[in-house]
Amino acid sequence: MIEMTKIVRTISSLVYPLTIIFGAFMIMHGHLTPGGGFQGGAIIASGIALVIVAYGSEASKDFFSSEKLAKYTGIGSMGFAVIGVIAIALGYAFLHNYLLGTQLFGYVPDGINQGFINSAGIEPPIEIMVGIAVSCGLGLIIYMFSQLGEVEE
Amino acid sequence: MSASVPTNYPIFAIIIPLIAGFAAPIIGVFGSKIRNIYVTVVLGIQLILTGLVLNTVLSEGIISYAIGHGVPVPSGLEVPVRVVFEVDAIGAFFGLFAILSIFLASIYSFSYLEGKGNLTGFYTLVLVMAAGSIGFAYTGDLFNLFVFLEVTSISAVGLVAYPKRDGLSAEAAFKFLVISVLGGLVYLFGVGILYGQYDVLSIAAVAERMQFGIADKLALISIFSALAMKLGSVPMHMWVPDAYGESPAPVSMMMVVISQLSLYGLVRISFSLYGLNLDGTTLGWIIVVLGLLTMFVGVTMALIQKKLKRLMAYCAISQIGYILLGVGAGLIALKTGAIAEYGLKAIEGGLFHMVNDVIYMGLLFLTAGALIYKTKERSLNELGGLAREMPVTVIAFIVGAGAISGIPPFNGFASKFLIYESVYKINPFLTAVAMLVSVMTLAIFVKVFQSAFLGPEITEYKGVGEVPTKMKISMVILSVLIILFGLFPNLIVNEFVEPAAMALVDQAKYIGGML
Amino acid sequence: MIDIHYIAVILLLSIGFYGILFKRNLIKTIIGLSIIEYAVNLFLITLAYVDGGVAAIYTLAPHENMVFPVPHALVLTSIVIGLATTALMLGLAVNIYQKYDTLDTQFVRRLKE
Repeated sequence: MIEMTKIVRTISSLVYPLTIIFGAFMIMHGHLTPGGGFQGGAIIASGIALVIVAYGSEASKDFFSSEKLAKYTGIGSMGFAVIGVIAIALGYAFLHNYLLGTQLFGYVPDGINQGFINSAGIEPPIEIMVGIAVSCGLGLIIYMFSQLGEVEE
Repeated sequence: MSASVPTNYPIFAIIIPLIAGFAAPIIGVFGSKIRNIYVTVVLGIQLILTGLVLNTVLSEGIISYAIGHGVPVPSGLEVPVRVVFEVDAIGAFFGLFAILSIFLASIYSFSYLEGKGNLTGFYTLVLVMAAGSIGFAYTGDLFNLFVFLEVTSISAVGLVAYPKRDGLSAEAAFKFLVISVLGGLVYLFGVGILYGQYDVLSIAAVAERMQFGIADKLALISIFSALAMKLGSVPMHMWVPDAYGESPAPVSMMMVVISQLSLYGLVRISFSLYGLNLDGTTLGWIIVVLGLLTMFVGVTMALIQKKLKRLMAYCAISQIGYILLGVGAGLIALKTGAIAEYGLKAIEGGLFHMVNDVIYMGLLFLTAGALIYKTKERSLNELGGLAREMPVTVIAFIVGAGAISGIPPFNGFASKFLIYESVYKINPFLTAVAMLVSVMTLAIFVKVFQSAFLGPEITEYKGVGEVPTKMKISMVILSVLIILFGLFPNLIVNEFVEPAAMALVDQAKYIGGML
Repeated sequence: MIDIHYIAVILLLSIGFYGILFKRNLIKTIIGLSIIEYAVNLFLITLAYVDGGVAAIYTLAPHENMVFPVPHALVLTSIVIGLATTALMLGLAVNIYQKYDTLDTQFVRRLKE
């Protein structure tokens, strides 16, 4: 893939942080709105794709490295599993929501509400871990494909 | 809390290799030696855990486990919507042998793949596959069966495609992947039909509510054909020789496990989900006919092969036919009533053969790998006179070939005899075909033995020597298992296979274990 | 009464199978498989549809007539798996193209020799 024009590069530099923020928002509100770790991660990965497309495969080597992306994919997935295993250590079944109802972050009323960020126990940490894994994993896939493409040109 | 420790074994057997697999890239930076030890330790722990699970299941009955529940073992789910694991004797038994096979294959691969590029990704995939196989064997949930099916097939495709030898492995992997994706989607479609009717996904709950309507039969057809596709039964067997033949030898051995897992899924769906209330005779005859075709086509195609591993792959297809024959005949006999006791025998034979097949097929692939490792030659025509050079390999090969052809002191005979004996009661013709296929298999392996190991010494291969120790260890352990199983079949059958067959047949107990 | 969604599912399924069975290009095979995947996902999500129901999210929900969210979770999982398999298939197709210089299945059969 070759570098695109300056207009595209400038616009993508502007949009890239916004995409990341929107993806992070999706990940953080996975338990309150439609969305979650996978969707938010996919949005972040689309930001990565935007940068790769705009700057070309050669320049994107400066921004991303496949080793790092692979490592963070592993860390995200491991984090998910570790959060689940903590439940076993506490005497519950794997992935039991042990933070629910503990009022660790304040009291949340039951039923239909206007959306409390702390209303889901271990769900937000899990979504964050999934988000890390998915954004880095998808980003890795896109990055690898962009590096394959340069053989042709 | 101490009482709940054994109930957590199943989940640990899945979670530990999964976490370890994701951590493998981090361990990989410390060099190949530490990584090999790490993989061995993780798979060893998993092997011990699966052994403990089997022990617990045999002594205390079905372990059920609901993920996310307050207590690991719910005493009865009001709304069975949780993701559940339900381990009964057959699942535990089969899981143990799947992991044993993957464990030995990875020990072998440490030497076999040494110096072939960066292998961290390879072992990540192996660990994920180990987790997926155990998940597949232990799950009690239709949808999770799909998830673990895909986990195992995606990692297996990665393993098949790992050596980038002039595009051949990519071609083989692509074929395998198309079949597994298609199979997975057809399976999911069937699950969708069942879910649309019964609003539950756990196998026990669906089995309890099953009404055997038209839609259920449609679901059975799609699930059955999907799993038959994935295990390499005859109409859809064309991916098997490619995927088995082109992958490195340890991966071929793991692929046998993957195929057998799909077979386990098929058996599980036929018995635990649909049970014997279904028109078992029709389903039984379908399985029997598939088995006969698979047996016969596999062995006749193997006769004309010149490449060693493709030949063995076709033999692997034909061996799957025996298991289908045993299980299908069991289903028929149990329905018929008059010869019901032979039905259980036939199922026992099928299940025992399943495990035996994993062991001797793995051993044969490993010996083929040893030949390829030393001579770099895949064609049988070019090999010869290697018996003097590789004494351990040749003994392992003789043991494996004897087992696959059903010669008495080896394990293949024990399970094949069970199948012959019980199938004869249903129709003598079936036994005749099965024995004919055995004889043909023996002929094939005599040919292979003659052309690879006997004959004049070829100067090119003079002094190639024996394979490294790690490869020898795997082959020797498998040979010893084959001989042990062959000498004491009653022990294995009574201790493990019979409870497994009972668990399979007793659908009410399976349902009761969860609800 | 047959729901119109099921007709769409069957239509998509047949298009996908047509792509797999009659197209020689590997990329078209991949597209066919993806279409089948969408058909299955559509089928699952159609099963979950309840007239007048709302999504099972408590945030400012208008009433408590919520749909059972399990099929949505299934479809999400199936999409994730589909993503992985599609990426893997495309990667293998790239690998095949680099080695064979073609994507035509007529010529990608060196294994048979």
